[in-house]
Amino acid sequence: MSSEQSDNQIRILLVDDDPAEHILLKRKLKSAEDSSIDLDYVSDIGSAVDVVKAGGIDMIFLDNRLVPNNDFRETAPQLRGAGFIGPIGIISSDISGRYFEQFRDFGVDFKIGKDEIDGTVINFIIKEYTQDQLSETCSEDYM
Amino acid sequence: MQPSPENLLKALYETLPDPVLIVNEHRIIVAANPAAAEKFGYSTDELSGMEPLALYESIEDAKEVGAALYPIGDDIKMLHRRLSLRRKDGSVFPAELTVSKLDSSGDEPIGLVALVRDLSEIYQVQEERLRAEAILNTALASISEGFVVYDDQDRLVLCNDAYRDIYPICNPAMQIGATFESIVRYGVDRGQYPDAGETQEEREAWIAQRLQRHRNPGEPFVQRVRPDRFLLVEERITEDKLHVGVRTDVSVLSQAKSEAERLGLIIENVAQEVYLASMTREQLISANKAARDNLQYSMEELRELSAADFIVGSTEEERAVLMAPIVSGETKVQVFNTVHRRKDGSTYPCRVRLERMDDLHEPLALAFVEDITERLEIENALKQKEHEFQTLVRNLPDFITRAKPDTTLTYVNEHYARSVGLAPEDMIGRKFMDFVPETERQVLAEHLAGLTQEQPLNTAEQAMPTLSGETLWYLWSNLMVFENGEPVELVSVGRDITEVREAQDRIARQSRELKLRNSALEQFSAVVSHDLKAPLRQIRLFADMIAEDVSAGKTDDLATFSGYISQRSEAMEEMTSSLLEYSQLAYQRINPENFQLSEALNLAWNNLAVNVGEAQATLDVEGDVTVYADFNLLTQLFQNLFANSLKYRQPHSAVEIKARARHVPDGLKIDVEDNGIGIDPEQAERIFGVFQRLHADEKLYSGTGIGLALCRRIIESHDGSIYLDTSCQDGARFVVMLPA
Amino acid sequence: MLVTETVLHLGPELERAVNRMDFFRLFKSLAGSHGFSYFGLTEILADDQGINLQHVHALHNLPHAWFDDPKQQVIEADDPVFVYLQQSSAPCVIDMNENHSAVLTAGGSRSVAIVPLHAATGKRHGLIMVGEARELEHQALALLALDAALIFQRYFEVILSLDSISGLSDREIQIVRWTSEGKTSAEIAIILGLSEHTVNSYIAAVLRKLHVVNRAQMVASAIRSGLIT
Repeated sequence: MSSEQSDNQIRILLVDDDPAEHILLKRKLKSAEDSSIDLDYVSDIGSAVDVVKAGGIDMIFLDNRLVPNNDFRETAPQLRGAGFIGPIGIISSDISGRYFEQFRDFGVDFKIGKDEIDGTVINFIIKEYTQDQLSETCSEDYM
Repeated sequence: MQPSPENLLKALYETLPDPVLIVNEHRIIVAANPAAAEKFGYSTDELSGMEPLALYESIEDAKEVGAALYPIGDDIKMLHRRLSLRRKDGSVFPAELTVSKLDSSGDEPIGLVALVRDLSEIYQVQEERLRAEAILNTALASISEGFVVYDDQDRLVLCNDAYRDIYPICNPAMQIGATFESIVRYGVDRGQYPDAGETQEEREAWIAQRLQRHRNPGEPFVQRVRPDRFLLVEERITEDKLHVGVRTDVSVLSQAKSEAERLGLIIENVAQEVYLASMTREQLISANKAARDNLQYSMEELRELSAADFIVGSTEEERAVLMAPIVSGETKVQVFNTVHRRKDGSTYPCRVRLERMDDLHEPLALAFVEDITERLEIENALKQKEHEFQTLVRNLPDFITRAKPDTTLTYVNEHYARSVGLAPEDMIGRKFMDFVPETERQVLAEHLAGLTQEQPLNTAEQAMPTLSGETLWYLWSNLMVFENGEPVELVSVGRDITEVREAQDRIARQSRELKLRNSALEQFSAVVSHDLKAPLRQIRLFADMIAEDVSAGKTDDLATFSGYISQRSEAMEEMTSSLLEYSQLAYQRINPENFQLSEALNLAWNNLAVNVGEAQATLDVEGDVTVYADFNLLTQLFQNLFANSLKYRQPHSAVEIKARARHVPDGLKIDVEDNGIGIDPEQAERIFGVFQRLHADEKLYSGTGIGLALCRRIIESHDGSIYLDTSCQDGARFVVMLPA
Repeated sequence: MLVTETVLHLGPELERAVNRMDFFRLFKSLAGSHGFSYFGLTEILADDQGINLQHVHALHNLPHAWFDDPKQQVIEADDPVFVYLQQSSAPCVIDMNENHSAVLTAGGSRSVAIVPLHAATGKRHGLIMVGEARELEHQALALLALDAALIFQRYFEVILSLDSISGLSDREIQIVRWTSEGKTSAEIAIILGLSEHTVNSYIAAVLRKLHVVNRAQMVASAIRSGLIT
């Protein structure tokens, strides 16, 4: 993925205003096969932006509704604005709103329901979003 | 010299006027008599030794004759045929050739003798006869009379085309040699003679009579061969027993006669009564069937009556006055109405057209009389209808006007005139436009300009102030009548639709309410599905984790997990009771009444007495007004606002709430202002949602979370509004608007 | 929450699926709703290669530990699951107690549902679902196969059929244009406010659409065909 990630350890930032979700996700990560995940947690978007600016975050799980913001369409762009180019996944207890259809336009990589998350999903996400999709011939050296 | 048979033969041969040729077995002429020489133009010497082929016109004839005769044998009989022969000069003549065997003294045939007879003259005579016959036929064909000749055996000898045309149905039977009777019978069977009768007996009798006449011709007689075709039949028997007949078409004459009859028949049968009366004697001469039937008298009875006996609609003097100009010849025709009396005493109104007839030996009066009972009934019915229509138009609630295309009125119904406050006659001549409110004129003018021949009818709703000052709504249907592409008249009908519009408004208002309710319901169900599900999920997961840890013997986090579980459960309990409260209040029908605003404010304040005491709060009411609203709901609204202020107060300072009511152009404006911590302007709208938290640091759903949502529901059901005045710096100020 | 039956037959979730993550969720939800914990979807290649779950278009949540070589993730050609996929085009459920599968029995699973799938291009794919469900009613299996076909069809339309699609989306053209100006994926991600991963996804899609293998070819081809200037 990015060159900063040399030690094979992946840092995921959870942004959720309900601290209970942090505890729940921590438990789920334990059941994932890949144990090389560090989970950071902040409860508001301002803190998340600060963490991102500090660097070292590989992926962000972003709660859809972060008070006082309405939904991810107000928060995800703030993270992109802070220069974060890693994957952002929206987690929400309800992803049925129509506005979820345009999630990619707001810099979001994927969406997932909170109750869908389990170990195998985390495995898939890590694999899917940390492996380079472009073959080596397409690396930027060939440009 | 004793003529020996030989000499006799020779003499005969020499003197015979017909050519004779002797031909040997090799078909060479060996001898020819002088007649032959003369006929063929050759000398006898030339003929001798010639082959006879040159004497035939056609080589085919020559070959056939040759083939029939040669080689000469016993079996040859006499040959006899007609053919054409050729002279030396090339000219040809018709001839009869007779060839027979010429026997020698022995029985052996030694040649043939050919006798030629010139047929030219015979043919000529025959042609002349044929020509004469053709001329006769042409002559017969050219006359228009039918001409026919039967022989003494009554067989058809000849007839011309006209004859055949006259009897088209008999025509197939008119074969030469066919008997007269057979031809007639053929025609009778097929309907040639309309007068021949229908039954077999009638027909036989007719045929017998016809044959009798035919055989003993006398005076010419008329015979009908088609319904409209009449023939004059003239027959005669010649000295040589030939029966000659001539047929002349006399249809035109017969028709003229029958037309007069027909006219009489028509007059007799026409439905209108027709009378013919003597003017001098005032007596009826004739009356047709309709007249007799209607008056119920027979002709004989009528002749006995005087005019006064059945004319009761006018006195004798009146009749005399009417008749005078006719009698004097001053006028030829008089038309008047009168009443006739029937034999049974009943009467009927009628219209009489009396005409003087002068061309007769006595001046007569011809009267056409029409029973106008029905017509009068129809006219009366029509009058009644007209009257009803007038009454209808007068009483119709609609406005009805007719105007010239420039809206100059030509007719207005009373109803419209009444609503304008003028008499109809005072409106006629003025312009329609003058009676339209000024604000509507532009629109109406455009509307009328839009009427075209293709789209002559248009409707428009228009507000019209009444004399009493209220505004009524009218639906005007404007129809422009076009003639030859030019507008000629404008017909407008206006219907009062005020009530319809009010009903529409009511429906619109109701559907708006329904929409609000639906959106509230949607929000409600979203809350149930989302906000209630989220804590449930967490409760389940924490319970799982507790079970997991317990089975793994870990106890460190159990307190934390169970703490979350009870926290979430509490939150859910609060939410469910809030939802119940909300659903009970939010969907309540409003029950409006008039009350003093201060009553509602005070009751709301008292309901919160405990919290008020805790917060050492004060309420300052400014401007008491009368409001028309649901008292309970409005009390609930203020209670929620006050509760909000009490909750979000500045720590360590007493709560001061000001409620200020005043009338503004849009209605009633009520401000509720506190000195609390205030609300972020960015949250101005969100706070009115169900379960929206006002402050990020609040723990999940503390408080009811539906207070402001309820306030909004309540005020919206009153067609009012509530919003946060974001210009307020110190504390929060809510503005409640109630419509006028 | 995904409720598979309503979601697939009527619901909007299938229509809204736009990336591999979404299809992963759909297939996982389908498996879960029929009592299967794991699933794997991949293209079935040549006879002797077995089932390669590392294939670029494969989706699965089978634990890595089940495989002999977690890096390769292959179900061998002699595995009954592969044999079935080779031979049949009808869905079925195999009892693992009777048919030993080196990989799938490893996790202690009892049964495997196998759904052969066919892309519109003719390429064969196989969906396997692994779990405890011992028996599946005939009707349930039919429903499972139908749902699988519906999801797969959408997967084909959104992801697999890119090779045969001509024309680039606005987003793709933006990215090709920035690439032609020498920007790296990370730089483009910052410019467009996307993740680097997303930018690379777009580039991968463009490579497939244009039938080229690297960025230089991509830019050249896009210029040639007038997609960018």
